[in-house]
Amino acid sequence: MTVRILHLVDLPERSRTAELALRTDMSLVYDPVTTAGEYKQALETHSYDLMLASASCSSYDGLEALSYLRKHYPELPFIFLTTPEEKTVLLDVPGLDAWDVVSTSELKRLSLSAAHAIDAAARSSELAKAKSLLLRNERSITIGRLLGSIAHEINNPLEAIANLLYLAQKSSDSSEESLSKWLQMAEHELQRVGEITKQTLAFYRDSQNAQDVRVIEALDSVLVLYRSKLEQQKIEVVRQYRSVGVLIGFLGELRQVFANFIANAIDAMPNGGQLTLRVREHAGTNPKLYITIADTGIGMSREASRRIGELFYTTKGESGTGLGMWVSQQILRKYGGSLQAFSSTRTGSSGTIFRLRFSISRESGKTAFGNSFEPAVLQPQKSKDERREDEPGTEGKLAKSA
Amino acid sequence: MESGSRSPLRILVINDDQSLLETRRMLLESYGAKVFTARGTSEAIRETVLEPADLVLIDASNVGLEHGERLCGLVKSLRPGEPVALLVAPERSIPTETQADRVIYRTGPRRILVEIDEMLEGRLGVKLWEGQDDGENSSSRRSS
Repeated sequence: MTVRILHLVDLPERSRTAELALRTDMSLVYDPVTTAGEYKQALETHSYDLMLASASCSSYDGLEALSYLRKHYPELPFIFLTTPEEKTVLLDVPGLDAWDVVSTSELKRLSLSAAHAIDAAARSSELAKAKSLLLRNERSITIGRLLGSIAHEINNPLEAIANLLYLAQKSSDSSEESLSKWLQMAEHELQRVGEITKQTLAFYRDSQNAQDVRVIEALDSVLVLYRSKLEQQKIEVVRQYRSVGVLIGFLGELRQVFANFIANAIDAMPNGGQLTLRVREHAGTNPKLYITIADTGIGMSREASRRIGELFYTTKGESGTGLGMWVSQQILRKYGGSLQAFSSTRTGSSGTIFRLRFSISRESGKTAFGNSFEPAVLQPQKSKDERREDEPGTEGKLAKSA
Repeated sequence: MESGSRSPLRILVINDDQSLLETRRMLLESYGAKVFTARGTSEAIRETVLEPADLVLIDASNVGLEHGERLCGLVKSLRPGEPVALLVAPERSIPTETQADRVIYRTGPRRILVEIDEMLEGRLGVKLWEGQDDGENSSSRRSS
């Protein structure tokens, strides 16, 4: 396989040495450039497998070249080719995002390092593709599940309307009072259908641009879609909205996250219970937005709690895919959000609390989409005192289980 | 619409959707039936035990096919002589082995009423032909 390598180089003899060292083990197209302009132009023109650069070029610093590459071509591997002295300096640079630093005295290992870098980048690209495919699959599964729920939600009021029209047409009771009652009931059912279709259309309408998303509205729209299931399983919904909770992002993605958590909570309560949705903001030097989804369901084992978000891990046997929570975590990460989980399986006090946390900008009071990633914090079993502090509204149910 | 010639038919309707339960009750009552309703398994069992019924109508579309089948089994074990009809949305496949005496597709109020009336040997008094505009499955009915 022929690979294409771009080399930002200061001295022509270094370029020739590097090219020779590389050609010993691989077939390559080698493009040496000396200026920032040539470097950027080359990157725009060709698709490269590897980038080589000297630490300091007379016209364009290697570190600047690396910084530019990370910003515009984050997947492209980068190797510094330096003098032994420059290598010592570079290795002290904190957070140096390069594959390797090869000094001129180590040229023999350049081709091996380059081959490894290219191979790793290809694997990473394959992984990214697989990840993207999984995300799309999960989206299809979620849509499929929702479609079933939506068809059901629409069929019920439609049939109720058909019953009422039949009564209006055929009943021997043709009093104005009865007719008016039936028509009012039919109108109410039509509104129900309208609400479902409105929410459904909004659910997966993709937006090209991030927008202000009101969290409580997104949560309520998910509740509309699961209304019948909630009623069917006799689940009481408690909405504790102490803030509107504005996030900058994509409504569909946030709804997908909320739908996953709410659907899991419903599944955990086959014999009824309470679903609590809480939105609150925490002011202070680092303001935060907290979204809590709590159920009084069967709870999760310690192992299940520990493995939340693990790809393909499911507690639902054949009916689960192990994708829902994983996808939710991926989306949360994109929003710089983090997740905490508390769960108990103890009889009489079982349940699960999921708390999503987002940082808010003090100026705008909104959470910025795509800010730096904050790793997810998963704490399967917190102590009694910690729970009290975290969840003032639910400590009575779960604190006992600690 | 009321038949009114005999003692009122007693029909237990099991459904988890309140609007559908209510309108189906109104529909059957307009034919003179005495309707009692239940939402969920425990209510269904209670109502089955409390009063005998001429017909039990279970909506599997709302309680789920599997759950609807289980309810059929429960009703049959509690009241072996009571006929049970299982209502199923047309997009669902009909269970090959069901404990219900009849599976009825939810294709509209008239179709459901006609099928129920057949199960009750015409005691509900649903007229099959009320005029030329009553077209639901008319050709197959006429030829049979």
